[in-house]
Amino acid sequence: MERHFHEELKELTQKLQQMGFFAEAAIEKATDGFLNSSGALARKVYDDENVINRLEIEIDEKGHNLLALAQPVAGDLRRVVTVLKINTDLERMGDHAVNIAQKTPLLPSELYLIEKIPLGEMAQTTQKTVRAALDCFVNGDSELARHVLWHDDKIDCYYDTIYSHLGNFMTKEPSLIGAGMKLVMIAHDLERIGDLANNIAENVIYMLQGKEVRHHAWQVLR
Amino acid sequence: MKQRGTFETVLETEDFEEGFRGGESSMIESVGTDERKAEGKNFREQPGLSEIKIRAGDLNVHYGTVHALKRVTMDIPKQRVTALIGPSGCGKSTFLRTLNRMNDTIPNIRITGEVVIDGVDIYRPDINVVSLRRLIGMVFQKSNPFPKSVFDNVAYGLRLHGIRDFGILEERAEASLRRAALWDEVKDRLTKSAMELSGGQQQRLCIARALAVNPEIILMDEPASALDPISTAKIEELLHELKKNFTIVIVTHNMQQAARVSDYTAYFYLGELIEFGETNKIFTAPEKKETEDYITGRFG
Ligand SMILES: Nc1ncnc2c1ncn2[C@@H]1O[C@H](COP(=O)(O)OP(=O)(O)OP(=O)(O)O)[C@@H](O)[C@H]1O
Ligand SMILES: [Mg+2]
Repeated sequence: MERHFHEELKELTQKLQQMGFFAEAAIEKATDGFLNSSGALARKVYDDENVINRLEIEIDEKGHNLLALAQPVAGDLRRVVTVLKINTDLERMGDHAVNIAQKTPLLPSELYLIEKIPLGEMAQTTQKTVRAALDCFVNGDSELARHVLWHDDKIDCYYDTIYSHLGNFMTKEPSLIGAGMKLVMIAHDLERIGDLANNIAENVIYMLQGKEVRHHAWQVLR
Repeated sequence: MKQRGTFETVLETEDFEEGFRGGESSMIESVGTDERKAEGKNFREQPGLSEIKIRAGDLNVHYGTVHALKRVTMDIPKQRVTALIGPSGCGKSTFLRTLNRMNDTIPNIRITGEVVIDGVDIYRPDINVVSLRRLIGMVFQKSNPFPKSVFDNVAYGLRLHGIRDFGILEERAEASLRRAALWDEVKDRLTKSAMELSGGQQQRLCIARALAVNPEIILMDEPASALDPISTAKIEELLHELKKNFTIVIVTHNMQQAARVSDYTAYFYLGELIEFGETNKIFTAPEKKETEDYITGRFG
């Protein structure tokens, strides 16, 4: 029997998917804007952020209503709860994108330092990770979760590299401390975005399989 | 100028047009308004309510010395499902029965206040109760099919209203059975006795019977409380379909059911309407602590 509840669940899922597009777009604009030192591009992030904030509230309300009114169980329950968690993750991603956009455009000293570190590669990988996490949710594909975990590991490596490189530069050349700090913060925002993508993938696995993989996803997936 | 709905047409066809027009209807509307304001509990014209079908105003019901309904004022929106919830004996069924004057025949009952449907106070002395009930179908807790064939059950109300043409009867019966999501299950046994149907099927048959005469309002008093989960789910899905064309008021003991099926919820306690509002709101953040205690099971 078709239940109209399932129609509503589909709508909720689609809303989250839509929010995912905006989060992805915000991250892309923020990182491209920063790396190209384009204030104009970075400012567009605020438009995405507005939509993301509106969707966050809509999804929260709809999710709570479904829980209260339809009393979903089993896979339906896991889906509603997962959507609510991913909702928060995507909103946080939007905040990190704004953090990055706020630091655009770059000063000459920052442009000089950015050449010395793999921040562009890190941003690329971060975007891929977010894409994979969202595909994982949209396609209901827990296999894709492996990609997310794998990319996230790479992001962490980039972060460590960038952190130590910048540390060295700042020790040698104190006049670069301001620029170095700013770039560390950008790398940190990207690293956090990767973690959030990781959360999404773990939650999707729980939604699909009812299996808890948080904090030990690697053991489970390998 | 108020819009003239079907209820006014009923009056006209019953030759009660006289006395309806003129200033009287506006007089009816203003009865007791000031008193209600003074009383406080007024669930009239809440923001966000869609078009109103039924307005209960300052409604009181006494059974002898029992004051079963206390100054209930409530607007029931058109083509929505409104659920009435509350502990046993709080007056849900009493309220429901005032909406189609099913209480009239109870001895020692005293009803004051008004029930206005499409602008007409149904307690006016010139109302034809038979015609009124054609516009307001009712479904009870215990399915009560007549010991006749499936077809005759559905055709019963139509025949009562003078339809004899078999072609029309057949057509209307099929349409009603389809609307009640029962057609596929009974189309090959229309001439069999309705008593051979399962409980869930009998209940949907009663709904089909109510629908056949083309009512505008359907009142249901715990229609699914005696059914298994699958039949219950069918009836709940049905309500979702039916509200596209009908105004539905349903009494249910099952709070989860009220949450699932209704757009608006009214919480009654000891004959008083404690809270009335959008079901979304009532079940996520009710205004009154009493409502919260009841729906979260902290009551009593
Ligand atoms: N026909 C009647 N004669 C006398 N008193 C009645 C009659 N019907 C109801 N009452 C009284 O009116 C009050 C409200 O009863 P009502 O049947 O409306 O409650 P309810 O909310 O529908 O309860 P339940 O959930 O048990 O069906 C109760 O105190 C009841 O005893
Ligand atoms: Mg009752």
